[in-house]
Amino acid sequence: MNNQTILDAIGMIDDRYIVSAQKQLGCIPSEEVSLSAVVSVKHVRRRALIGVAAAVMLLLSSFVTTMAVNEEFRKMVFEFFHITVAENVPNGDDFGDKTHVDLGGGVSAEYIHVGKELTSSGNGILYNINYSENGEISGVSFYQLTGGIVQDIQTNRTEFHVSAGGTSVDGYAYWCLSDDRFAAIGRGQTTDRSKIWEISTISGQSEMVLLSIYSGIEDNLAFYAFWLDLHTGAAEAVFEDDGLCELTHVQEFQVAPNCKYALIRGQSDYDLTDAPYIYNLESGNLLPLLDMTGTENIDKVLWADDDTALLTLKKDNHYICWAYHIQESTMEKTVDEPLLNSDVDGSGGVVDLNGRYLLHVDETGVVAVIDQKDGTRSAAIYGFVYDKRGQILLGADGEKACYFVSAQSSDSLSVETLGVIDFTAAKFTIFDRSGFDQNQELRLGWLDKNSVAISTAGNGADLYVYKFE
Amino acid sequence: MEDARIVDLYWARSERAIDETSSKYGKYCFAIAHNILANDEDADESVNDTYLDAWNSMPPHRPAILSTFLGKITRRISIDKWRSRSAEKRGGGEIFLALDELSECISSRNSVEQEIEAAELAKDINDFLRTISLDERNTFVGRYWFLLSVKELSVKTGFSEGKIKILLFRTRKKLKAYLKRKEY
Repeated sequence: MNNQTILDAIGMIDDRYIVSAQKQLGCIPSEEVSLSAVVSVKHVRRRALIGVAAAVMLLLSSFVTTMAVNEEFRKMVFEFFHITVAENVPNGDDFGDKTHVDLGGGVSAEYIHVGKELTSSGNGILYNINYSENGEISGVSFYQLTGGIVQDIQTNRTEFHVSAGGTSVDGYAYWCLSDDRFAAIGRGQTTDRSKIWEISTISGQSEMVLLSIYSGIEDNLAFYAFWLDLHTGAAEAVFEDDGLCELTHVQEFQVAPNCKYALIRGQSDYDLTDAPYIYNLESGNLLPLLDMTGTENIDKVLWADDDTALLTLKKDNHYICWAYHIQESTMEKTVDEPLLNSDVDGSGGVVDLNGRYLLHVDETGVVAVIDQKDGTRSAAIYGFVYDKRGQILLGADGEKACYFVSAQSSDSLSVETLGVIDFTAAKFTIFDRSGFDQNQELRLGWLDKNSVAISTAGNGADLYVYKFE
Repeated sequence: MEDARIVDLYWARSERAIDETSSKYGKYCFAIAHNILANDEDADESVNDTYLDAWNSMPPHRPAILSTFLGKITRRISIDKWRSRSAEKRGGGEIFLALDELSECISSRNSVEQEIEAAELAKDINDFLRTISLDERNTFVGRYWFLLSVKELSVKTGFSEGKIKILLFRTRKKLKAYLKRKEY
């Protein structure tokens, strides 16, 4: 019996199930005439005698498609814009009429009095967490920026109760949904302090979150995970047995965007080294990845896409990346380069962005982008010279990165240059800032997929929002 | 024209049967075929083969629901066409993705009695479908019978793509457990 058999069997299911699906899905036959499909009986009979022609080109396989896409990446020429006129950063105490400024080059700035310190979730939602005296989360408030004004978003709270390793784990997930933007927050510990738990969002999901439970020594560092339905509070165990039996001391559990696999870093009983694994969420199979790399340990694991996991290692000022291709079951070393050393003039190397893409800076400061999925390098970004004081912050979807240069003082980020690299649009735009030293710039982060925000302290806290079109 | 009258035309061996079938079900059958073959010319071919098969099937058949009768023929013909033309490579369309998703529901042993096994399995799948919720069932049938993409299912149901994926994931997991109990 194989999966083709099951597909054939599904073809024979009861008509009433097909009709029911037809009604809900709108797959009901149309009364409209389709001229292309009108065939006379005589024509049908002739074809039956002659036989059906069979001269159709096959579509490209997904492997070939991938190669074609990365051939494009290899030839990709990033457009670089350095906006010539610097932003004149206003004093937070008095924006005056200057609350919205067009900086040119598709970049605009908006200055907003917020009045409170808020954290960005990176998708347009801001939040503030309230804590009780014992340090537990007592409430979360969500906000969004609309027309330069900070607006409340309704906060929902879902209570859950699960059992993990014989211990009751209870808590709340705080979440909001506004215009398809979703955020969820929750973390805590059990009353006996034997376990800690946290809520994390799943890519593409707004009704379900992942509840991860980490145990202490009393429970042998066991790991448990549940899919938590935010509307009902129902929790369904991810693992069939009580927890992930094969591994302990799980450090990471990252669900792939297609929800078919999870990347795990943990320890097995016979080897106390932290190692990476791929867990098939449907079959329950656990695949160790470390041996396939030929190295003894890995720093980081992340998903490049639904079918590719990346494993990275920084050692002795060197950076290595391996890509595990799930469909082909192959491990490939895709990057093996020195790390960029900002203390040494005239040296080149790579800059880790903590995502699928990497920056390569040559000895003269010229930058190219590397796709770690297969090591393909883009054409150089001409016109841009990398400032070794520069720092990079990857956007939530991994398709853009914020580049900034900080003239860092003791109590302020003092951002003197700010820009965004768009890996898919192959565009890199930066601008300089003057007057930043009149504000205490505390935080910089992605506000949403197109905007970066700098938050400042002072007279009620302000947001300096930069939108890159 | 009502289904019963169209079936009467087949029984009467009237050429109008094909015209009426094409008029009422042409697009429907084309949509099913295209989901599998991802190619207009191949899908047209499957639809034409469907009309021939229907002509040869009625009589003796007198289906109560003509849409599902024709849909099953189109689906079978299109899957056979896909198998013969893309045995080694991914041929596009949703069928390969659907097969990939279903692969975890059942152990993969090759069998020469595949047709018999499929018929037996169909009975158990019918029993399984009775046990799950309406949303789960319709999403499952939409994905693995109609071979609609996740995006299309999202548009047609009004559910988010994330919810569709979770519904399918849960249903496949339940099906796997169900088939395991049945010793598949």
